[in-house]
Amino acid sequence: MNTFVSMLRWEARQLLRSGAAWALCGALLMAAGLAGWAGARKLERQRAEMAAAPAHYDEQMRGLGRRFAPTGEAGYVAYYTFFPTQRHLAPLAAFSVGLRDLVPAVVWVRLLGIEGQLYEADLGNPAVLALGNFDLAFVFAALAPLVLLALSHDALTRERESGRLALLLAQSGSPAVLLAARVGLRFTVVALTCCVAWLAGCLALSVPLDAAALGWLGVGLANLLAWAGVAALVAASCRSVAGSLAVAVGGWVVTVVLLPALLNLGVAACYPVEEGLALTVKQRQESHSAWDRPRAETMSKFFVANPDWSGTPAVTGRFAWRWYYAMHEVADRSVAAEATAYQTNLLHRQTWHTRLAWLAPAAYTQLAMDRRAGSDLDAHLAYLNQVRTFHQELRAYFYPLCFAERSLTPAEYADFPRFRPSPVPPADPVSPLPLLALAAVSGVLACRAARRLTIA
Amino acid sequence: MLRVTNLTKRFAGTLAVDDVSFSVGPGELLALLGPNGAGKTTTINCLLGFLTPDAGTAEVDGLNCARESAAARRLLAYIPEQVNLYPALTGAENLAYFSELAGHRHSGQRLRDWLSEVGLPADAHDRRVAGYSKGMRQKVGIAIALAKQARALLLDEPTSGLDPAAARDFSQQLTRLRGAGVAILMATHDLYRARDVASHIAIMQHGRMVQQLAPTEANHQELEARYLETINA
Repeated sequence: MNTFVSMLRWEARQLLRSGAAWALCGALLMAAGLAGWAGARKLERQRAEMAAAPAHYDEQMRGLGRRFAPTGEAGYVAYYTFFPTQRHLAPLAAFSVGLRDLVPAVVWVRLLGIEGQLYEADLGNPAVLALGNFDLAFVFAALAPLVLLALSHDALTRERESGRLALLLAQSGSPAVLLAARVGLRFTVVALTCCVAWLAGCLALSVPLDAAALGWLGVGLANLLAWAGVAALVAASCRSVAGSLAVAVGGWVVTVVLLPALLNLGVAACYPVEEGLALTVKQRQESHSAWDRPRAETMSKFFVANPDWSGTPAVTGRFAWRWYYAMHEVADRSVAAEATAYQTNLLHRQTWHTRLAWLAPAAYTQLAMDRRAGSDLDAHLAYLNQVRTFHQELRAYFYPLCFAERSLTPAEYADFPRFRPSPVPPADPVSPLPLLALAAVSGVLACRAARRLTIA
Repeated sequence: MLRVTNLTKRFAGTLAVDDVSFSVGPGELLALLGPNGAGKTTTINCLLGFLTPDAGTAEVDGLNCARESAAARRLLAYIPEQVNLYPALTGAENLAYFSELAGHRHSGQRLRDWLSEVGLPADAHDRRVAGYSKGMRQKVGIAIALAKQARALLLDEPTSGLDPAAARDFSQQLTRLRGAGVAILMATHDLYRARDVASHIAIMQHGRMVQQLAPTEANHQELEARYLETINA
C-alpha cells in the first residue's frame, strides 16, 4: 500500500479526534457565516436603496408635475429634477464588499456641474479606499490561512519535541513525505471548510454557481495553497513548537496586517490624491464665482466646447437658464484636469497595489476577489464614468430646450432620460499565478528543509 | 549486515565517536556497553542516517547510511530508549500506523498477536496510549520493531522501563530473532542481559571502543568487574 496514502488515512483519523481541529474549523465556519451575513446585510441595504430609487423619482416627478405641469420652463424643471443613477450590483459583491461599503450605491444627479455632484455622497477618504472589510473575502484571504497555520505549524516540530521524530523517520524514511501528508491533509480540511462556507453562501445569498463564483473560490483556494507552502516551510525549518508558532503567527501578522498597511502608505505617498469632496468644493467655488463675472465671458468659455450654440443670442437679462448651466459646465471644465488626475492617480494606486500585493498574499487575494466581484476601485471608477456619460445625455436633452428658452410639453416630461445600470466591462482579472508560484517555491523549500532534518 | 568502519563524529569540537569499527553479521547480536556519553547512541544515529559522520562509514547491507539513508532505513528496525507514541491512538492503532509507515499492512489479529507477544495485556490493545505507562509504551515500541520484520535491529536501551518479566520475555524475543538471522546492535547499561543474549560485547568509553569480548570469556561477575575496571581506567 502506498505509504503516502497510509499516512493520510492515519493523519485523518488523528485529526478527527483532535478537539482543537474541530474548534478551529468550527470557528472558521462561524466567522464565514458572520461575514456572509454582514455582507448580505450591506448588500440588502444597497438593494433596498436601489429598489426605492424609481419610486422616489416618480414621486418627485409627480410633485414637479403638480408645480409646473402642463408646462414649465425647461431650465427651471431641470434644476429641480434629480435623476437617480445606480451601480450594477453583481451577486458576488455579497462575498467581496470591497468599496461598496465606502461609496454610495445610488448617486442622484441634476443638470448642474457633474464634478460637483459625483463625490457628494462619498463616505470615505480615498487614502483608505484600498483594502479591508469584514466579508467572506477577508475570511478566505486572512482567517482561513491563520487556521491552517495553527493546525500545521507544528507538523514536524511537535514530533521532535515529543520524541517521536526518531521513530517516525526510522519507520518512514522520508520526512518530506511525512510533511507533505500532514500539511496536505490540513490544507484539505481547511479548504473543504471554506468550500462548505462558500457553497452555503451561494445558496443562501442566491449567488449563481457560474464561472465568476468558481473563479472567486479558486483565488481563495490558491491563497490557501500558498499558505500551506508557508506552513510546511515553517514546520520543517523550526526546531521547537514555540518557535514554529512564533514564526507562523509573526509571519501572518506581518503579511496580513503590517505589510498591506505599509504598501498602502507607500503607494499613497507616491500617488497623492485629493479627497473627492475637494473637487466638489473647487467646482462649486468656480461656478459661484461666475455670478460676479460678465455673462459674456462665461458664455464665450462655454462656446469653446459647444460651438453649436455659439450662434445663440447674447444673455442680456439678469438671469437666463442657458447661462446658468453654461456656468456649471465651464466650472466642470475648470476642474477637468484635477478630475482626471484624481482618477488617474487612483488607478495608479490600484495598479501598484496589485503589483506589490504579491508580497502580501492576503491583500493580493482580496484585490483579486474584489475584482471578480466587481466591487473594486476599477468598477467604482467605471461607474463614475457611466454617470458622467448619463450626465452628457441630460445635457444633450435639456440644452436645446434651455437655449430655446421654451417650456416643456407633457410628452417631454415623460421622455426625460433615464439611467440604465449596466455591468462594468470586466477588467483583467487579477491572476492567481503569484499565489501558486508562492505555494510552489515555499513547498520546494519546505521539502529541502525536511530532507535536511536531523533529530539532533 | 551492519558495518561501521573508522567512524568518527564530533559535536562542536567534542569527539562523540572516535575511530570506531565493528561489524554485526546475520544472527549476531553486538551489545554496546558504556557509561552515558560514551558514544553508543551517536553510533546508532549514524547507522540510522540521522547523523552524518565526520570520518569513516556506517553501512547496512552495503548501503552507505549517510548517502542512502532512506534505503538503509528500510532494512532497519529501531527501538529508542523512550518510545513516544500518538496519545490519541490506541496501542493497536499506533502499531498499525507505524507499520504502514514502513510499508507493511497487517491484519488486526496479527497486530494483536505482536502486542501480546511483547507482553502487552489484551485489554490494553484498544485503549488510547495516553493512559499507558512507560513500560507499556516501550512494549508497543518493541512490537513496532518486530512488525517491521527488518533484517537488522538497532536497540537503544530497549528494556528501559520494562518490568523484569517483560525484560526476560524481550530477551527471549532477541534470541528468537537471532535464530531467524536478524543482525542486532543493542546499546545497553544492563550487563547481565547483554551477557545472556549477545554474541559479542563491546565496551565504549569517551567515544572509543576500548574492549571487545565474547560472552563466554566472562561470567556475570567477571563482566561487571571488567566493565568497571575499563570505565574507571
